[in-house]
Amino acid sequence: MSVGTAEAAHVVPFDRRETAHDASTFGMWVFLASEIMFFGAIFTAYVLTRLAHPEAFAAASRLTDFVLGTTNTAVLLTSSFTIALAARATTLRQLRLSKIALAATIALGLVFLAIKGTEYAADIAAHRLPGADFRYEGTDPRGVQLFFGLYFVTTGFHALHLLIGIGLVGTVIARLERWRADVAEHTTELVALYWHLVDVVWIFLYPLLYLVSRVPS
Amino acid sequence: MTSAPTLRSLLAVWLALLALLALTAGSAFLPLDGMNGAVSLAVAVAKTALVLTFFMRLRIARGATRLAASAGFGFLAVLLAIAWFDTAMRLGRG
Repeated sequence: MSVGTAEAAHVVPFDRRETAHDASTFGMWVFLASEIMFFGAIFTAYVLTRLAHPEAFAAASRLTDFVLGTTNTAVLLTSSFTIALAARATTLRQLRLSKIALAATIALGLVFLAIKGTEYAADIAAHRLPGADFRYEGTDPRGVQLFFGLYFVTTGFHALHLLIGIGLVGTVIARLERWRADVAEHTTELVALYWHLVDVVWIFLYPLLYLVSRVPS
Repeated sequence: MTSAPTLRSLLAVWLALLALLALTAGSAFLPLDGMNGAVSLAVAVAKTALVLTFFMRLRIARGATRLAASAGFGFLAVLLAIAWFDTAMRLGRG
């Protein structure tokens, strides 16, 4: 389907909307690939440190909150579902449903951040934040400190990305009705792609941080 | 207008993700003779595959898009493989 002159300005330099949409999706994935490398580098640091301190990582992982971590994973997985629903609704021009689904996504994102904040508060109170105040009575405190360094950095950057995602979803809610149909459809899809990637990052963080060693001895 | 996924497929993927979460969370407590780590990572890969294929719609994406997606994961795999192998050998755990 080609565009008339008046609309051509919106899809220049493409001659068809589908090509513009495909190009945006491709571009978004190139960005997501850079995000994968960003988190991937920190994951690699985790792997190498864990190779050098396996017992410390096991012990440190047991100090994380299994219930809150698992709950948060369920929250994020559900938020991916709600944003996928929103993308679908926008495509079908069910804008009111889309806004509800987008709002639900933000709500779930905020729940995640609140739970994470609760965990951080407990971690800091228990002297698990690396630094002068770090305390660990057990073998290989350095290894445990390294685990928590990685824990705070990975979850911290993840939370920052989630916050950005919440901002993006909020922007979509605000502008959804003003956009032309195809722009609304593909902007919602692109924001959803970003959100899903933030979810994928957590899908890997969860077992690496919370499930290293849970078998009761 | 691109094709929209069915409500049923989205619901199915979500329930499958929650089921996989229950699996990984539960299996973490089972004595699996050192395989717990492998199991939980395998489940993470499965969840990611579901999210990539159905929520992120890589199934219906163009080749170029799938290439961009693969490039991200592919280069990460190279980074991890080389770094892991190198470090493990140095630590004598290879």
